[in-house]
Amino acid sequence: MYHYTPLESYMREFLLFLSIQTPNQLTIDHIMERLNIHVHYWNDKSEAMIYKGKKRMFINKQLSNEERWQIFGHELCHIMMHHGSQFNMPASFLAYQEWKADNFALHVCVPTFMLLQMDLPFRKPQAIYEVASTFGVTPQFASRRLEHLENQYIGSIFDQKLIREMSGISKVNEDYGDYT
Amino acid sequence: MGSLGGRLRQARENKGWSQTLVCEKLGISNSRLSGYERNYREPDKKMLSTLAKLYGVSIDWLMGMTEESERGESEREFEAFISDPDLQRWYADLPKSSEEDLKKLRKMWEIIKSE
Repeated sequence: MYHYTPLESYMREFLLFLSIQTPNQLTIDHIMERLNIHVHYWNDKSEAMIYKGKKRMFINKQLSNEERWQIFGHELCHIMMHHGSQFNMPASFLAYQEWKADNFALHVCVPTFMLLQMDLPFRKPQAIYEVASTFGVTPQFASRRLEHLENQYIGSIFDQKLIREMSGISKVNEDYGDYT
Repeated sequence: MGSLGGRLRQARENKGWSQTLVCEKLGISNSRLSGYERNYREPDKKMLSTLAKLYGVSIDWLMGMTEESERGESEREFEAFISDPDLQRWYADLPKSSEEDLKKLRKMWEIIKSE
């Protein structure tokens, strides 16, 4: 029993709209082509830009494939959802946009609906390794992502129990297991 | 005279204009312009290209990156690009200075133009 957050539901719709259903379709090339984003690899710092209606990303060449993919996910959020130029933006608003984009990246690079279809190993290090290699992200990123998943699980279990307690039903039926 | 403020002052004096006159033209306060010229404030990209246009000098010369103050065709195109109000950018990591950012913009402009 897993409750999708609004972001997770959006992500499922969004990726299905781009006809992306499996982890091996989750690539920069795949998404840039469908959304008509120009991606340039160069030696300078990475950034995203919209100029004359054209969406562009400049991604640092020296990054590993995993880091490129994660940056792409982050910048994709800005390009799709945000407006403005960050150069003169108030610091707190900038931090907010960045936080949103980080979160977006976690969910676009490793979508919940795909995670739930996996048979994740029971032990955490193995699960992290499995997620990292399946979705082409770094172990740190995979670990943060699994934390999100766990929190969401624990949250929905808590919810269920609370509802039962409140409605005076003391017998809690364990119909939601672990990852498997 | 190599600093941005110094060059702004030099360009203004070459035109034979007073600070007051320039402020009236641009609709900004005297203290703001004198702040720019004393390197006490840093003009943003839009202001920089407005000033360059007004004084008829190139941004590179103002920034002390070249001794050539002539404004060519490509210079004007580049200025139009960086001062476009519809230009939106998001940095993966923020530039340390306006100068670093301008260098980056130049490289981008080369890429965009060559398409």
